[in-house]
Amino acid sequence: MYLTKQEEQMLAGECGESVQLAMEILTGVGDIYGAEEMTKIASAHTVMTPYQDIMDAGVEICERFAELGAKYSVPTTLDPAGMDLQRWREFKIPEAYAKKQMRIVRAQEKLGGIPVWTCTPYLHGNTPLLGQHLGWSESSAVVFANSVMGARTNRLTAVVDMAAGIAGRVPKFGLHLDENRRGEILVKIEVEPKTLTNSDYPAIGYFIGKQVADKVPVLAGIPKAVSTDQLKNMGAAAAASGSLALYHILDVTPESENLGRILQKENGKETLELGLRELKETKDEMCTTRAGDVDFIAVGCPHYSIRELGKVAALLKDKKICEGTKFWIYTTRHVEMLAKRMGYFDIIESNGAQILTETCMLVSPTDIYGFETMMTDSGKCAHYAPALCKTEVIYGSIEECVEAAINGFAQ
Amino acid sequence: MREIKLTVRGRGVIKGVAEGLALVSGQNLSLWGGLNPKTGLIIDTRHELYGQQLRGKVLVFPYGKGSTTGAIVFLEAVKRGNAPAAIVNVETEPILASGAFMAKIFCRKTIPIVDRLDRNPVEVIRTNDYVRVDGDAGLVEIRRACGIP
Repeated sequence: MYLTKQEEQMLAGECGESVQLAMEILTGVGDIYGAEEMTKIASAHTVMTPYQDIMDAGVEICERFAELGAKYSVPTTLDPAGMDLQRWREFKIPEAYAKKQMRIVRAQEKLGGIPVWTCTPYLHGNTPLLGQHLGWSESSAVVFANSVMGARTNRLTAVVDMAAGIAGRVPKFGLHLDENRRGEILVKIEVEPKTLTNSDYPAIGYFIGKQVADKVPVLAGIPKAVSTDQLKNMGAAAAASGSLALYHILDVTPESENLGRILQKENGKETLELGLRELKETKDEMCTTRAGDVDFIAVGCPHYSIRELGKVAALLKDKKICEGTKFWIYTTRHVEMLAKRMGYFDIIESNGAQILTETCMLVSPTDIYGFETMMTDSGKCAHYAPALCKTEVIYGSIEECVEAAINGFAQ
Repeated sequence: MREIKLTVRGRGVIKGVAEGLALVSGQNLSLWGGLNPKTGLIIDTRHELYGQQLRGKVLVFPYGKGSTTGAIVFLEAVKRGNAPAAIVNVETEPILASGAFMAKIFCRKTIPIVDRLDRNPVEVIRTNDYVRVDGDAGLVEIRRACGIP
């Protein structure tokens, strides 16, 4: 790979051992994928944050970078931690676990990581621009940054994301290059756009993630009025059921004009249709059980926005959560603060639900509570919950989730 | 007992040589939510390899998918001695390649990976074939006991 003089010095250890280690990792990955050069990045985002996922190997690597004196050289935001960093005792997180989590927190603080502790950094100060190169991990954030914002990042993985933040560079291959961002498969949404609801979007994403493998899909039939939250939730599901990192939506996303339109001009390209039947089948597939008692309602994967939290508050007003059922809502400290100011927090917590911040059901030890059946409005959560939370899972709209929380069962 | 032997050529993604019994799936795999690195078992209830032991096997599957946390799950498995001996893919996703590459740096362990073979590995290799993966030469050698002695 071609390296600039400065990059050669970084790799040779002239800028310190931590930069050298970061460059060894980045050039090694770049060589495997035939990158011709490195590219500077505007920001990084790292998933080296929850002890639940990164375990002892992760603690050791975070601390090794910290001991070597590593500092992030570009703004680097942090994914959720493995517990609510304020209320962890209330949620019975074991002391030994919390100690390991706090070691990660301290190491990331030393490196200068921006402690947003969220999977939605693009809503919390790490907001990329069209065409900017990034070094991000977090599959749901990568697909949002590439598709909705038109920035350019591969699906970096744990540790490589820290290396990118430290070196301020990534190897230039994959989605950093124009030729890999062109639409390759047309997905026609054959559902009356006006009838699409919030809970259809994760199912659309789940379907696309399963069907398109590593191709770049171009979506037709998504209404122009689609919301940020709907796209956030759609992309997260697609990056869980598959490995989707980039999509275009005709007349909606910024690159659909050039890179997305290319597909329409060429004949004989693949087309995929998604109608009401596929939508229903996908929603069925996202569930492991259909109805019955529900002891855990978990929403906020990706982290809830203030708008989504407001919706829950409206649905919960003057209602009470069923005894024996937990209703946990995951979001950021920032959104929690807004919820307090706007009165949502009081409504939600006084009616028996709880707001957890800086973590989520998938990256904290949810299996310790012994829940049997979870209900969620998240496609990503529905996909991973059986393996990670060890529960049966029912996928439903937020209206259905709140109803199940009040009744203690889903119909 | 007769033995069939077949050598398939591909690209060495991660250098090194290792061998073992094959564990084959036609389904894509996410390491996070897919592998428990503390036991070496596949925990994704939606995957056909659910409940299978990975440790020491030559893992054969098409492509990586899902969460970007994958590499550290892989490193924890390597650290605990629960990683596969080698991996063969149709196309190796950067998340897995990064994990195996960093196993050399952080754990001083080599898990060779070969992909882009001239035959589809998921069709050519069967579970319990004895497979030698040569990441230096980009070769996969398959041995299978066969037929009546």
